[in-house]
Amino acid sequence: MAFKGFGDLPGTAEASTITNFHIDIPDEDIRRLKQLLNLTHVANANYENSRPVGGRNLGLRRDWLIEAKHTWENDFDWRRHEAHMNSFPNFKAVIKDDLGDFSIHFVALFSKKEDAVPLFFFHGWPGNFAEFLHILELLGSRYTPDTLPYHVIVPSLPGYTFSSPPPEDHDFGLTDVARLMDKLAKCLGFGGRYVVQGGDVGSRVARIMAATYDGCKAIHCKQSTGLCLVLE
Amino acid sequence: MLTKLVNYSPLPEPEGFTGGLDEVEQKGIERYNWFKNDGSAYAIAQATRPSTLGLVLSSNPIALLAW
Repeated sequence: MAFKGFGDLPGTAEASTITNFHIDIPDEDIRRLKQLLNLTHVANANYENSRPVGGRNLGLRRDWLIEAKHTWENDFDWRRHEAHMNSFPNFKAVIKDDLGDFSIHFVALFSKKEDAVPLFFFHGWPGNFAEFLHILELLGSRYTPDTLPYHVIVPSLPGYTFSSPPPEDHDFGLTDVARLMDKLAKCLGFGGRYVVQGGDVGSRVARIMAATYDGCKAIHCKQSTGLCLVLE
Repeated sequence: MLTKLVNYSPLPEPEGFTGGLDEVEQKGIERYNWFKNDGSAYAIAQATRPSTLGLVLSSNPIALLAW
């Protein structure tokens, strides 16, 4: 699918801090991954990893891991996935912060409608921006840039895929992530009014934004467990 | 300026209370207890020794996949 016109930055965006981004993992990294896969020995069979009738109550099954390794080595084609991700409008924004400059990667479909609502989707762990690509495909097939009711923005949270990692000298947490995401909204010119959605870790980012920033007007969470292991 | 006050205090079931939980609530409690007792060790490990796990998981792709 071609997302013609959806990748045009809105006039409100700080165009000087945002660049188009193209995923291109170096051949050397892919070669190294394949070498590591090839050299890695999967543990011998034992009671715990070979429970009868597919049981995995004691953890991952050895037969599953062997099959997954085989598939990864022989059938998995990174370049095909990379091309799919690159078919969407990808960007990077430089966000200035007291903790330093962060390069934040995001995929977005921008609308040309005056009243389009900015809608941010925050991924979880272990996940990444690709969780939302099928939603972007649906929206891209149902709307044109002139009719899309939303600006849909899918950032990579700091430390995930192509966004900067957290700094080494700071106990970086979800309030920091929320602040950077609010700054991303401002950088796009949406700081005064936007909506957030999140699942898992992303739901916590969304909750903090809703509680902290005036610009965050509505929130939708899923998979927000009661088990509060992540310090807010 | 955004000002919000949130007060949260877990309350024990009052003495002599017989209302109990309905079926859906009971199932929710059971599922929560299952997750807490049998499904959440990964999160506790990640929350308490993130450095060790990070070093292990970044050393090998099969290790990362297994985790």
